[in-house]
Amino acid sequence: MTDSPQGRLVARLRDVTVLLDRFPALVRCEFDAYEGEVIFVQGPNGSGKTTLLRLLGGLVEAMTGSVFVFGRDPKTEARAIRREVSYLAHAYQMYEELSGRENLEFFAATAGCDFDQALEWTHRLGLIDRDLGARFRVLSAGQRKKISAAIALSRRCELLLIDEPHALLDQVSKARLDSGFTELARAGRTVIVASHELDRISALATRTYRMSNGSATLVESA
Amino acid sequence: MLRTAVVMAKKDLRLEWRARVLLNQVLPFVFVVIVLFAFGFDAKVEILTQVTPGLFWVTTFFGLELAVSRAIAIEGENQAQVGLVMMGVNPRGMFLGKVFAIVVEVLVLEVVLSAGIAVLFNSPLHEVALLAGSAFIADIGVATVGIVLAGVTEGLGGSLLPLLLFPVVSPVLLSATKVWQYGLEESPAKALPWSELLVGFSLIYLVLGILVYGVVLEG
Amino acid sequence: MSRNAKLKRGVGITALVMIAITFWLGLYVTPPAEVMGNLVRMLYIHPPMAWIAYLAYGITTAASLLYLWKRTRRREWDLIAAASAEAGVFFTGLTILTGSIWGRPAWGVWWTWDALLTSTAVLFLLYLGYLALRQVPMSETKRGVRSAIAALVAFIDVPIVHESVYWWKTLHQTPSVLNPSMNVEVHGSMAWALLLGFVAFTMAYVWMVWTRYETSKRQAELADLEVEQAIRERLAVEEVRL
Repeated sequence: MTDSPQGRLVARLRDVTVLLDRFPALVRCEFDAYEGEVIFVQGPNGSGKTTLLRLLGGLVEAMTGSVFVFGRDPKTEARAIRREVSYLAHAYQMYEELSGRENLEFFAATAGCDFDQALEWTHRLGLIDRDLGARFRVLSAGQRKKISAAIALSRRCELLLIDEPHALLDQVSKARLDSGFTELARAGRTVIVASHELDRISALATRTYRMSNGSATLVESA
Repeated sequence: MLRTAVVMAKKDLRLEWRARVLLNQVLPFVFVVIVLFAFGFDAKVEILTQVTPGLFWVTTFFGLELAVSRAIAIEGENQAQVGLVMMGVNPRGMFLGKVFAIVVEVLVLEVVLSAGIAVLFNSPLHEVALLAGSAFIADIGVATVGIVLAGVTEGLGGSLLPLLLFPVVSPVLLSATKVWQYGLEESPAKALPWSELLVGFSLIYLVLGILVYGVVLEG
Repeated sequence: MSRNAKLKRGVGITALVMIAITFWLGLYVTPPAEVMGNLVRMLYIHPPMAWIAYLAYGITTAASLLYLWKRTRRREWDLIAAASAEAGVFFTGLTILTGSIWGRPAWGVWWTWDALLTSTAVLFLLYLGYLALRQVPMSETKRGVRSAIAALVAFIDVPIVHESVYWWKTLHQTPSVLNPSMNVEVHGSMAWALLLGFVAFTMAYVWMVWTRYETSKRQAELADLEVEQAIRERLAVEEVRL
């Protein structure tokens, strides 16, 4: 894969169409991501942001076009790609009857997450130990989101795919999360954030894509 | 793979213990069944002892089906399963862990059920090793097929799983009932071919499950 | 009419003719058997139907495997698997029906839980489950993968069910009255009729699966066109916006 002055190419989409049960979620989409970037993918609901992220993570397949993540095609090498990818989805992906802490322990034991780092993230995002000791079921939406985020951020990997992280958080937590993204990018990881909050991310994004009707257009390069 | 399995199993068991879904649903059913049967057959011990194997296994199968549904439902609640797949957790380990957790849960149920039968029907349990061993293996057999089929029917409506599961595991029901019948009659030698069938079934579907579960998760 | 369609029609007509001849041979030309009398005439259609039921299931499983393996995954295999399963249900049902008709005068009952009948009934249920699964609305790939796995699970089960039910009924039990009348010596015109029966119904099966497959294929292609249309529309909206 060709690298550019921007750095090592992490992901590339060319002329990609993705069908979700016959609905064209992505239509002839083009996209690039380089190492160390924070890429902001912005657009209204239904424009294909989530599908783009899921495609990069190998959760959906492209019908046409070429997709490369770390030089590999997710259609055939999804497993290898996922080792280097962390995906913070809309759903919490946690277990209701375990406590926040127990959830962290579980994912640390099975999924290559650093427990101490995850714990640190929960504190950074404003959770105290008592919150972590309570069952996931009784936590508020914001608290749940913070724990999910902590897991995603503490995974040892190269590429982070973040889907609408700000939706349930208060201002302070949003700011802390954003600084976290910047930190990770500076450390060499690539962060792709999908959000429809315009002002929030554009400040710290290296580049911004705007999505509508399944296509992505590059808005600005920093 | 084994490490993942152990962690998954512990997690599943802990979840069940906290939510007590199976305990609350199946145990009362078990007691009702026992009482009804005793009442219905007018507590004639000879009939009850003849009926015991079938009664035991039909009830256990009900418990097994519930346990399997629950095992898959847990993962669907917050799409935890998607998270696990995305994070590259070994699907074979996941599969084994879930099978193990189900078997443990159902064994607890079976112990209570057989104790209840022994006490309330006054029918002593002979050849306990044979009964327990066959129960263990039969549970594995049904759990393995169950998880594969539950994965296949996940999110498609609750009645599909029993429709698919019960015909497929009917040999297990037959064999286990026969083994228990011969065990209780104290003629364990006759149970041999049936035990072999149980072992064969469980082994085949254990291997198949391990091979295929990854595909099920992706689908 | 295209060559493909002509060939298919040829198969269908041949099947029809052969079945007709089988019936003619079976009902008029062949002699009644010694013990069974005219009842033996069931022989020319019942075993062939049972054979087709198992063949259909085998084809469904083979096609499912081909679909499951990513390197050979094509929509066509999934459609063939489904078509074969439908034919299989049809023939299994017919097998049970003809068996029942044969059984009534022979054994005095419409149904009994004998080994072969029971395992055929389970086979029927397995097929039905497979078809029920396919009916649920879901994406094409999902349906293909999930039903393929279900077919695989069920296929492995068939011999096990067979064995277990056979043991249940025959081990530790005195030979029942059910068996003796099943033994029939087949020779002469009877053999020809039987052979023809097998061939005839196999051709009928092929025709059924072929027809069903073509219909499904056309349906899928229609859906593809709709998708292309949707894509064009979405692109158009985007162009206007720009």
